[in-house]
Amino acid sequence: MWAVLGASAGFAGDYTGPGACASASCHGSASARSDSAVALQNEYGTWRREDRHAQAGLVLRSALARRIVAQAELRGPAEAVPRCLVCHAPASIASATERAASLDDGVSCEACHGAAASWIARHTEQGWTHAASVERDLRDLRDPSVAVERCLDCHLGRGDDTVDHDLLAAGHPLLTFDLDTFATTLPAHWAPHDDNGAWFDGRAWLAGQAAVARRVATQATRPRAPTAWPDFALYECDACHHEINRDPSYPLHGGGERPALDAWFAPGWLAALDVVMPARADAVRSALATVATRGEWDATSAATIDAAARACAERARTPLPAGAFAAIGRALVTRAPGSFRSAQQQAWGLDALAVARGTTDDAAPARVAIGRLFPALKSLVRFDHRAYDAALNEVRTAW
Amino acid sequence: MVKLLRYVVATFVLAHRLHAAELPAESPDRHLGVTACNSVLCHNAVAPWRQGRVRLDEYRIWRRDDAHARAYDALLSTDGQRIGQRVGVVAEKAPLCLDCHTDRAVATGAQHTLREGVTCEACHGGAERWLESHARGASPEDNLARGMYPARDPVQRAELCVSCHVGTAQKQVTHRLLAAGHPRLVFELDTFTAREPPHAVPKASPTSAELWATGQGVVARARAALLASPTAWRGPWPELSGFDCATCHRDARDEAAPARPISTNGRMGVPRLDRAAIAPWLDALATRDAATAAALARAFDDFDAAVTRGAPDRVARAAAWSAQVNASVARTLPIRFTAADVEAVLRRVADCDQRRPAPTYLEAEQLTMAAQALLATRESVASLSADARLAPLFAGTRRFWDFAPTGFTTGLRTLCPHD
Repeated sequence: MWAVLGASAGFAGDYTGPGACASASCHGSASARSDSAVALQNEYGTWRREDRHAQAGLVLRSALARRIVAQAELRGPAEAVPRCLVCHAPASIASATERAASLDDGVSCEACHGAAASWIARHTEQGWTHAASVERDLRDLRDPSVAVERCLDCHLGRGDDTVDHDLLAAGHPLLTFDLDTFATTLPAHWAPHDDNGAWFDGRAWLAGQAAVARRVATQATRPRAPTAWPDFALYECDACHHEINRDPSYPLHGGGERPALDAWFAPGWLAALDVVMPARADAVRSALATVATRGEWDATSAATIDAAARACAERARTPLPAGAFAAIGRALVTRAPGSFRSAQQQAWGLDALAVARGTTDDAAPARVAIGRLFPALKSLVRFDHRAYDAALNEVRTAW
Repeated sequence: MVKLLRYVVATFVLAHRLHAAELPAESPDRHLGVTACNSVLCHNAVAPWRQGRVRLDEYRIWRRDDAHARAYDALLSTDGQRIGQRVGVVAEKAPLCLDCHTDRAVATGAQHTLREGVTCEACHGGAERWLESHARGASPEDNLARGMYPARDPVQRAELCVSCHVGTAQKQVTHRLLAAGHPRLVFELDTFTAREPPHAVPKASPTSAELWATGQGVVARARAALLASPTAWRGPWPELSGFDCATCHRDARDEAAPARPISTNGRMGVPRLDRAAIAPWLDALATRDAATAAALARAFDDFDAAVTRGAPDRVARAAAWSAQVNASVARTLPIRFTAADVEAVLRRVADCDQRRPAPTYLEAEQLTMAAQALLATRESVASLSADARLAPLFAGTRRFWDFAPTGFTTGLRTLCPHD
């Protein structure tokens, strides 16, 4: 059973535990070392001290976790529920023997980099290459398109391992994701080098957009019981969670009797596709229109999104022409977001694109204006459309 | 003896007739329009004629004070036009709207009378066959035999009101219409009769409490029939207007503890059917048949869970639920209450035995109107809308979004006898 769950959690190979990486002469150095070409060597310390992934397992022992488990009628406690462990302490799923220890380790090295047993001993050998480790079980996180798939396993969901509406209603925080923003917010245990440039020139944002779209489509069309209702988590939260009055501010969508489907990922990705691969943009736009009209995802539309996302990820493997990100930003800044979550994506995207086009100074007018978008985005149910729109106008001027 | 015989025959005719009475909109009888009724010598008297069975100033009351007379105007209002646009129809031309906002039967005749709204004949039936005879003093039985609608009978009247105020499979305010801005439908026979305002001479029977109970039975039957209608089950969602609004339209703050209890059955995040569609009827039914009322309460919970679980047989279960409700109503109506019955229902409504979970907003709305009807009957007064005991209940249910169930329940329990 563990093996099966382990496979679904993205683990291939045998798990060794973070202790195997944490030697002072390997990745547990007290401070960053300048004599290494590819590693800072203090990665373990950065993760352990500053990265919230390290505390993800312990969260399961909190009062909030107990409440969520009780409300969602899961067979608790949270630290024994596979559905919780798969993301909060994934090693415990990969290896039953590591279960107790891995709760303390949360989301540790191998959760992202891949199970290390097959390459950990050899990757320190003279002449051993990164590619040789990747041939075994090391995940090639230098490529954002590869990395993001692993992020999304937890930050959006994979199969039934997902934060569905039941879990949200029980009090689990809402999942949302933007690769560039989240990677920037994560305390860095890496530095730029010759082989990871895609993370620092805007392509990580583009790869993230494509992967999110693809994952949403995959998750939405995964096999379910034919009579089951669609998961409410696929819909815009505020399509239902709003005050009832005589002056509805939410447009009726094509589905009519159904709430609006949440295409929060679409505005940024469409802006990018319009610039980078316009033919794909048209196909994606038409697929999303079909989904919106039906109020339900269908396999054909999902396949169109999937193909476009794969092409987009491939495109993100080589640098984009000069001015591409500036053009994407110009397209994105003119869009009016339809929902809280689209607005959140837009704000994150604009900041990533501003940096990607070269506006790296935090005090530059465009970046300051983008910063003013965020106060309106503090709460989904109290989303202040007008304040956001006013701030967005300032960004348009400054862009 | 002759008198008695006449009574027996009339009762038989009435009972037979009542069973078969077609709603005015469904009868083939031609509608003649309000001008057939509103002569000053007929139903447009300047002042009520106090000696008779009828007031004769009915038209005047309706025209001046009754919102039914402005039902068509509502389609032309800013709200009406906007709602029409949002659902893709021209409000004043679409059957979807006209079916209830005017006398549709007139729509086949002279166009100008559409503007009169919900007219005399929309409720009393097309006058083609009885206009002349009733003006010459025909008996009520004779009028009914010639196609007048038996609006005086509480059950028949409730059926008539409910055909628009709750809806039928053909005429309903779906969630799509609500989302476009149409006001939510609320109905309670006694309250709505009192507020219409009435244009009938007041009668001692049925009492407010009996009218309330009758209305609830007919509403429960209509609500169950809506859930069982085939149009309710297209696509992955059942028709959403059958659900409790607050089950979805609630504050979704990042808190595990709900601000207000929503479901009394099942876990958070799972939509629940509107309990107010059945709960008031069960309060009334319990005075007659407590076992059936309890069985129906359990059946509702089962059906509710099957709907939101997406049970494969949910359409069949909806039909079974409808049949069950229908049987309980058919067995029980017409209903008469003794003073002890009124007391017992009031105790249930006010939850004096503290058995009920906190009410939803939609239940609270119904409980408020029930309390009003029951107190009015107990104390033999016409209306209690300004009563201090009811003020907190009306205030507590004014706004959907601000409803606080705990405070409401406290207010309701003040109606219980202090032992």
